[in-house]
This record gives sequence, C-alpha cells and structure tokens, in this order.
Amino acid sequence: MPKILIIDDEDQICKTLVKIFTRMNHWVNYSLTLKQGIEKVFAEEFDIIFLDVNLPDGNGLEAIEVIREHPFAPEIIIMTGYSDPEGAELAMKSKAWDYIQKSRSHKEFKFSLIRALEYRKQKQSKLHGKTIKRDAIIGESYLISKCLGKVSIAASNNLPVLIKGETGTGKELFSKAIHNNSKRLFEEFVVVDCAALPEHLVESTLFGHTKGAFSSADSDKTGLMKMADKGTLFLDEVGELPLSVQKKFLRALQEKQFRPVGGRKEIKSDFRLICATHRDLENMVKKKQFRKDLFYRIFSMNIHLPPLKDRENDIKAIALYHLSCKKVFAKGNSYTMSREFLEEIQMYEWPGNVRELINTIDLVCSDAGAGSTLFPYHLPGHIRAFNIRNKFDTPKNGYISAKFPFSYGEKPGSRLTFKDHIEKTKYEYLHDLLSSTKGDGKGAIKEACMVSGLSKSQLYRLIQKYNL
Amino acid sequence: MNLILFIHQDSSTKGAVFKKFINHQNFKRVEIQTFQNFNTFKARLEQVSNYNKEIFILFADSKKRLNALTALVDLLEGKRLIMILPNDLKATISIANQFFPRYFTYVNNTYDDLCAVLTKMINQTKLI
Repeated sequence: MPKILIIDDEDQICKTLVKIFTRMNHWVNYSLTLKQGIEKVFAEEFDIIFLDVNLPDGNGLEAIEVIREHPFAPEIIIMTGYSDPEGAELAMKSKAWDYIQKSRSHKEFKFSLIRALEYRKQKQSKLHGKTIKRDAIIGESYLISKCLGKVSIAASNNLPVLIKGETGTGKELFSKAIHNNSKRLFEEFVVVDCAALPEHLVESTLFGHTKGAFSSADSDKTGLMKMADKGTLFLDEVGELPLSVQKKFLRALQEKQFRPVGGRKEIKSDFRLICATHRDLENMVKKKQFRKDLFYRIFSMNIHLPPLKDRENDIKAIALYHLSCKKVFAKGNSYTMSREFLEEIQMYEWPGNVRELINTIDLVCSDAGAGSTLFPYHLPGHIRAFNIRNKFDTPKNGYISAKFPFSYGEKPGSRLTFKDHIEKTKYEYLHDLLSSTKGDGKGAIKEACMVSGLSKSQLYRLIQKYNL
Repeated sequence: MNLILFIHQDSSTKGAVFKKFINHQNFKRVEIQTFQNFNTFKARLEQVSNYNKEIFILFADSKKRLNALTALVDLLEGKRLIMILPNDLKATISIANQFFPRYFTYVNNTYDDLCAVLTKMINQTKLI
C-alpha cells in the first residue's frame, strides 16, 4: 500500500486530502509543521510527500534537498496557496515531481498522485531488478523480495541501516549481504554484540583505550570502531547499547572520529554502520531508554525482516536448501521430505523463526539417519502437538460456533450472531472465489489472489481456516 | 547449556592455564566440553547444534593454529563464538573477523574481561 505524507499547516486541507487519498486505498499521514514532517519522513518510508511552501517553521522548497537525501527518496509534490512562478521554477529545478495549487480540484490532486505513483513504481522496479548476491538468504515470497530490494538500495550507499526482526529471522545474514554487495566488500566486517558486553566493557571495546586509562589497561588497545575502518561495523542488539555510551557513539558516527578511553588524540575511522535489534526502539525512545537523536540517525534506512510464519511459502525452499547443504556434509547421503512432513512444517508457527527451522531439520535428519525420507513422525513432539491442536481448532470443531456454516446444523429461520454472519460471508466469498478460479493448482491460487487482492499466504491461511 | 572449548593438544602451557581458569569459574548448570584436536572438534561441529544452548571458545595461541581453524569456518557459521587470538596484529584480527566472533581477546591478556562477557552470555541463555 503506497504511503503518503502531507506537510501543511492548514488542518482542514490535511484532513480533506487524507480522506481523498485513504479512499484511494493509500496509507496517509500528515504533519502541521516542517520539523515534525521531516522527522516523519526519516522515521517512515513514504512514497509521496505533498509539501506546502509556506510553513510556520520554514519554507517547504528549502526542505526538498533534505527530503531527497532519504535513501528511498520519496517523490515530492509541492502545493501552495497562491500562484508563485519563481517557487514553481525552484521546485522543478529541485526535481519535485509536480507543483500544484491548493485551489485546484480534488481530481487534479488525484491525477498528480496517480502519475507520481506510476513513475515511482517504474523507478523502484529498476532498482529492485538489480541482481545481488544473496548468500544464504532463501525465499521468493513478496516480503523477503521486498527486504532484498532494500538490501540492494542499502548496498549502493553508505547510510546507516537498522535491521529489525524477531530472533532467528536472519538479521546478521542480511547485514552481511549488505556488506558483501557494497563497495566495502573486501574490507572488514566487524561484529559488536552489544548484548554480550557488560556495561563497563562497552566503551573500551568500541573506542579502544590507552595504556593506564584504567587499572587493568596495561597496554594500548585498538577499538572495534577503528578495526572497521573502510569496512562495516555491525552493532548487533543495538538496543542494549548503554545510554552512557550512546552520546559518544553518535558523535563518532557523525564525525567519523573519536577519542579512545584515556586518549588525547582523535582517531579517524570511515566505517559504515549496520545495526540490528529485536526490540521496539521507538518505544524505548519514548521511555527514554534510547537516545532520540541516535535513533533518528540509524533509523533513516530500515529493513524489517518478517517472521517465518508470515512467509510460509518460503519454508519449503529453506528446508530444501538446508537439506542440500547437509548432503555435502553427509558425504552425498541425501534426505527426502515426504509430502506430509512438508505440510506439517508449513503448518507450524516457528517462534524461533529460520534458526528454529534449521535446528529442527538438523535434529530430524540426525534422528532419521542418513539418506532417509523424513516423515512427520520424525518431528519433535511439541511441533506435532501444536499442529494437532491447530487441526482441532478448524471450523468443523468449534473455532466458529456450531451454527457455522449452514450445513453444520443451522435451523431454518434462526438468526446468526453477528460474528457468525461475518464468518459465513467470508466462507461463502472464499468458496465462490475458489469455485470460479478452477484450473491447475498454482494458476487457480494466483488468479484467486489477483481477483481478491489477498496475498498468497493470507489466502492459504483462510483456506486452511475454513477447511476449503 | 554447553561451553565448548577448542584448545589444541599442542598448545603452549597457556592453553592449560586457560582451561584451568574456565574450570575454576564454576558456571552453574554449564557443561564444559573440551576438544584437543581438529578431527574430534570437526565431528562435534557436524553434530546437531542448538544456538541457544551452546557457546564456543576457540583458543588460537599461534597464527598457524588460527589459520588451521579457518578450515572450520563454514561449520562454525551461525554459532555463538568467542576467540582467543595470538596477538593484536591487523592481519591476525582480519583472519578472526572471518569467524564473526561475538567477542575476542588475546592470549597475553588476563581473562577477567572474557569471563565477564561469558557470564553475561550464559545468563542471557538461561533467560531464553
């Protein structure tokens, strides 16, 4: 869903545009000041910005350059209350997409937006089309392809990147992919595990120290930031970075120079920063557990890795890839997955994500023995138990009340509850949808997705839920 | 929770000192496994692994030993790893970075900092 931001000090205009664009199925937000607007631009990934010229705290035209610095460079449509040929000229020179007067009709706003989105789609498909080395990143789902598109963009610039995601989703793998696709490929990739370092060690580990800086400093020590010079510094679990170090780190990040603990001389280091976290940094900022200025510095470009349960179509590919790797280690003894085994692993939710899936496959292979076919029986008990419980939770068994659907015992003339009525409508819609898109399996699903606007994973989940 | 040490049998006395140091820490509910040659260590790495329940420590007291360990880089991928390096030369650290260690220190250092890191990692593991 395209994301639109309106920066205008007139509340009424913002609200009207929000209404119009929301009806067009876009996600819309607005800001009444330039400062707040710029903060939003760098906190989210907007596709289009509608930018007023005369704002209470600055001139919109002068903000164009700042907005264009954003790695996703949203398209900018300038709007103004009165005719201003010089402003229009400046806007076009700054490569704004369009210049529009607020007095124009809604239709013109819509038209300008549609055109800008068409252009943006073209531009992004070119960027995403760039081939990248994926290393061990497996999967073709929409969500993972989107993340790979961002890796491609991140690899082509030097901006800090924040990779967010649950444990086991592959944050380190993605950070290595950015490094391996960047110009820094042949330089160091230095890992700093902020969660593993006790608070008293963080500063000297990052910045280094000089002899005698503290009681146990019996020699000079080079910090990891210096070791990452010309390469990439990967701060894993950045949310654990102590507040006391964050200020010094922000300065080092901005100025690319810092002073080791106990040192007098500034040391230079041209490192590229990639951070990762499983924590909600925005919330930590609100609670004053993480510095706002550092957050905005590292958040400008962010990649949110989806949990494995949201890309169930990739599960098979990951399992096959891992089994093929195991074949190498098992000296040619390959494993085969039975259809039922595959269904079971696709049904499970994988709270530990890809890491848990891989560990489970290792365990299953070891249990089954080299060269075996893998069956559900080989899976750990807790996974089989979860799946069995889930199967019992299908509509036939009470997930939806006994009245649902009609054939499950509704008496003629009796009234459904509101919830059941909604469920019944959904069931009927899906039933009709699937009946009208009969073909070969994959083709039918693809067509059903196109017609309904549902993603493949959503559709599969609904098919499973309603036992269709 | 397993703490898996690789200290080659031909390591200098420093290897024995390090092993003794770790054993003296008395980490609670931690089983220490020590491997002293490449073949048995490789066999251990090929076994089923559990990221949340294992921490590996590689003791490389010479550059030769560190270079030999690079043959196991693929098997060590994705594991929680601490390294003890022979020196702080740029070339040595560059080899160590191929392992993506969570922490590293040097043979000639005291192991107090390493112990603090290890304690934190073990305590985190217990929380998972």
